[in-house]
Amino acid sequence: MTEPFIVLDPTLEVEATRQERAPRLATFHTIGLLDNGKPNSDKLLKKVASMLETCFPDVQINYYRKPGAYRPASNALLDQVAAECDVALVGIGD
Amino acid sequence: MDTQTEATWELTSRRIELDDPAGAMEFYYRQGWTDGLPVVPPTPARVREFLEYSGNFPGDILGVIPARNRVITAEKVAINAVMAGCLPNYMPVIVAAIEAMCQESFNLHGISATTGGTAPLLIVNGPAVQQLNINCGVNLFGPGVRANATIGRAIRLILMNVCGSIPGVLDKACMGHPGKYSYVIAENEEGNPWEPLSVERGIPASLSAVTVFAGEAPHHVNSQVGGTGKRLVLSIANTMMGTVYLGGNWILALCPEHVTIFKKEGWTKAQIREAVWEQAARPFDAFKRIAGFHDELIHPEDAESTYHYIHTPDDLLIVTAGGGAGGFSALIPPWAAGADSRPVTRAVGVCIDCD
Repeated sequence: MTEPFIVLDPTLEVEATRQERAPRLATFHTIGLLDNGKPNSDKLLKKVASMLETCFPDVQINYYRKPGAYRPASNALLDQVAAECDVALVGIGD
Repeated sequence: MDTQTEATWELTSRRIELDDPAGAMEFYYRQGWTDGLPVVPPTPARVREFLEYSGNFPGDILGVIPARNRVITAEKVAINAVMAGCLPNYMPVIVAAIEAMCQESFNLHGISATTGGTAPLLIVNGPAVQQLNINCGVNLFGPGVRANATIGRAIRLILMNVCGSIPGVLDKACMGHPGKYSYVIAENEEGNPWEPLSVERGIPASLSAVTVFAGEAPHHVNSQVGGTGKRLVLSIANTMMGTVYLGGNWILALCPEHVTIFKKEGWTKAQIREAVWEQAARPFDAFKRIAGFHDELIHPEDAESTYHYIHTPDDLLIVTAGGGAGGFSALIPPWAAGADSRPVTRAVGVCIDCD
């Protein structure tokens, strides 16, 4: 019987840990909109904000913007959104 | 007893039993672990040889990508370098390149996920150029030289297999470019009348160094009959004035014929940079129209100001390289996000046990 030919796995191998979604809130007072910094994403989010104002007239809407689309949001910015809002909407506008 | 922090030579990657090397090549294709070309099967013995050359323990962390929660270890780098067809003595250059790419200012996550389609270009300086036979001459960006072909390929395989930059998954490049297979050059220091790039960037001349730059594909600066430095500057500047370039650094690889022209007239690198900065410019409103800005973003006062394609002269990095015949230099534009990725230069580690 011939020897097996042994080779190694070139990938990271570590499975990304699955993050559970945060519990959905029945009531909230403040919504944060995080603009990813792409051109025109502010227009999209302003439209979203006006729709939210119609649906939830008593809710406060805070607007945040990443310094640029080409870098991840800083921990400081994410902490600020988490501290100032009950829920936040993020996404990619392109 | 603290065994957790103790470094060992044990390879921890999953071992796969296959029948033979030919079967292994097909297996790696099926797993999606190649760049489209066949790979050299990474056996534990060969991987160990690579690690021994760079003096890294398998578990050494060479870099992290926080946005992807990815850690790049020396073992995974060595495995992918074997697969790329590298020689063990290429490892220190690859290690230095990975460490450079993981500096925050390089923004590895951004440049390897973007629709903008850049590739990390490696520019090698110092004794490693001759020791490893890295091409700095004829057919500079072309095929035929093992070090250039496989070091860059190792970088790409690491980006795909370790960092997750799989085309269509995390690598969203609209066009990409051929440098995404391999993108490695060296500076021709013998033909260079100025300081080498690495020395300009703070590395002692006696050391080898690698500079990483997130760039588009090279564009020719075709100037065969210009004859004067001033005309060359015009050719260079006009090659730069494409559509949407929003600042950041550019690489200018000057071919020997063009270097000779500048040298004869006594130009310094600083003078070339300054002159290119001055000439590669348009009225700001014209730039905005060419770049496709909406009308509401073009203001009357824009006609009074000037847009420079390199925002400051120092943003132009000049290297001497290319074939001895032909008046073709090359410009490498930055990533679409310009200054959101900056080039990084790092000295290549020295193997104290090697000859």
